[in-house]
Amino acid sequence: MTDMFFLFALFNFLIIYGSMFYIMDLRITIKRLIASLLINTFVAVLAVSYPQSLWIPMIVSIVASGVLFFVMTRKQLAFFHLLFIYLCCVLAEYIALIVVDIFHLSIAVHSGIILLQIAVIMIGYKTFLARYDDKVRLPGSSQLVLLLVAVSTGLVFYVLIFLPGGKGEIPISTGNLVILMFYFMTMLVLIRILLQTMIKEQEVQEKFIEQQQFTQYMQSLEQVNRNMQAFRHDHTNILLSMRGYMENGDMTGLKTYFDEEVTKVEHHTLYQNQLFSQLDRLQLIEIKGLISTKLLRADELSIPVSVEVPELIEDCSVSRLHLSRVIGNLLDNAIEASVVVDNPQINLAFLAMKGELVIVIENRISDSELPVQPLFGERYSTKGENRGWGLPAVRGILSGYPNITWNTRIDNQWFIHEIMIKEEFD
Amino acid sequence: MRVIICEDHPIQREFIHKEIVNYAGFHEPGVEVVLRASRPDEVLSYLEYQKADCYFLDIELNHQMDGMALAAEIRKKDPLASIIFITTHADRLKLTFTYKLAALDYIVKDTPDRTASDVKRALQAAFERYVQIGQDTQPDILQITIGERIKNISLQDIYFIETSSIPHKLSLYEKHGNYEFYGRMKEYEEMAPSFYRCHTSCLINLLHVIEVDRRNRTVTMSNGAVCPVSFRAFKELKSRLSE
Repeated sequence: MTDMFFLFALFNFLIIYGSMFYIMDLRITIKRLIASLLINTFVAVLAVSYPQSLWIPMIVSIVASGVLFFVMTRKQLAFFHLLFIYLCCVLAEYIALIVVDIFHLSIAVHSGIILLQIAVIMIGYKTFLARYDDKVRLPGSSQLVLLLVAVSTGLVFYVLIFLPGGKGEIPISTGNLVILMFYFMTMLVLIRILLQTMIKEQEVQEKFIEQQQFTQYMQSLEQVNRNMQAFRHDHTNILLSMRGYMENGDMTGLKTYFDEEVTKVEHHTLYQNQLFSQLDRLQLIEIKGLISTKLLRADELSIPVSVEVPELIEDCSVSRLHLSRVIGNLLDNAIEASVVVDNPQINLAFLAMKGELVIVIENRISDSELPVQPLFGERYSTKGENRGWGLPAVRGILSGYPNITWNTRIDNQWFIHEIMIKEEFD
Repeated sequence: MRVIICEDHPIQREFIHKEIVNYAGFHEPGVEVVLRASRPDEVLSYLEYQKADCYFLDIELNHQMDGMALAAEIRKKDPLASIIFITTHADRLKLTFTYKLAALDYIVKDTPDRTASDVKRALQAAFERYVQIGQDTQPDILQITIGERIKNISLQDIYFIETSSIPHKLSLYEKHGNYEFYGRMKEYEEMAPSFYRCHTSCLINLLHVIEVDRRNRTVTMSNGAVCPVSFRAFKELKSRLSE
């Protein structure tokens, strides 16, 4: 009896933990293997000690393994995956039982049928997940709803299968199976509908943000236009004053006036014009809007910003939302750091190269402050006075993309970020 | 060092020529201007038969080919050429010059004094580079390309290189910043004797180790980073460090 039980436990282990490692893309390390084996052994021992009430080891197993995988991956979805796998196991087992019962097959065939079903379901499940993974970002509340659905399905399964038998014996009937399957499918369909609605909602929200950014861009353009008009107005005044100097024959006065007034006004306006003509070629509207807002802010703080977009940039293989968060963060840092510098300057460039897009953001820093410490790697402690900076957030986003590399460095009084985005690997 | 100037404005062209000749007379007699062109095709036809080391190119050339396109052509023929752009304030594209065309420097048309000092600075950098290329000795550096730009990192400044969760993406930490690039750790293990692979995920520079923690099996680097040491590597690390 016990031998059988431990054999069963091992089988159970292979199915459940194997599927979890597969679905969550976990690398198998010795530590993880030992931890999961320990939990599994504990569950098996529980099952041996309480053969009458199998629900105790089941619940312990679900909770303990759920916690284990949550600790390993830090994803709440681990609980959901686990419940899903359990439900599939119950279903698969039930189907296998019926098949074996009808055709009077051996126990080995029984396990074979279970394994086959689980393998097929898991592969399907993973492809399903992969399809939704980059589209949907589940907020905590809907993750909870999903979990609730899974838990209630689990309860229904338990009531239908385990309660009637009572003494550890499972009643086998096709009617039961039909009900179970029907319930399971309904749940799947419900979850799918939930996901679809969420994707729709997200799309609407992204559109809204895009619209907002575009409005901001338009507003900044209007601002530049107003400045141009003011410049034209100034122009007349400037010409009149110059004429005054000339009529008086005051060459030195004219010279200082020209150097100090005319070039300054002209620089400022031409510079703004140049910025927006460069931005014109950047066809990522969200980013354009974001940059123009930041430009206006820098302008208020009288920090010169130069933007370079030498070629038309129409698309980019990174989510716009991510890209604007990264660029917004880095630009905010650059502006903040420039406030305290004597002759600030921020340069920003979007450069299309062969097969990649290079984004450069750099700001001038003074000699004394060398912010090398905030260049956090994962191996650096993020505690201490240099916290903040938004750099960990940027790192979090960028490190998720296999096609992005990111350099941060100091070069000759410039603090430079270089982001290289390779066009999607094929 | 052979220099070519391409500038359509005769006064500006003569001004830059004069500055270069001045610089050559005072500092480096090895610098000579071999061509003063007003049109880009003159430069290209010159390059059919001859070579130059350093180019001063105006961005706006009043021709269907502008300075940037000319620079790209020159780069195709001679990847090592030092290219210096001449620009006005309005189209000063520093990052484009450096990252797309690997330009050495740029000169802003401003007051004569400013422009002159720009020319001098650029020429100095170009000459230093010319000498370095001539010596052809590779000091201990690691090269990383960013766009067309090549960044040299001195090996002794590197703290460590680590793998990331994404295959073939490596992160390098050095004195002035950190870099990410594609490659395999194995390629870098032998680049200098002071590097030691103390863990599958970590290649450390032994010169920067300041502390070894036996209990947690980690090393602390001089920039404060903590790297893991594998069980097997620990003994060898100890002996390598005591050398």
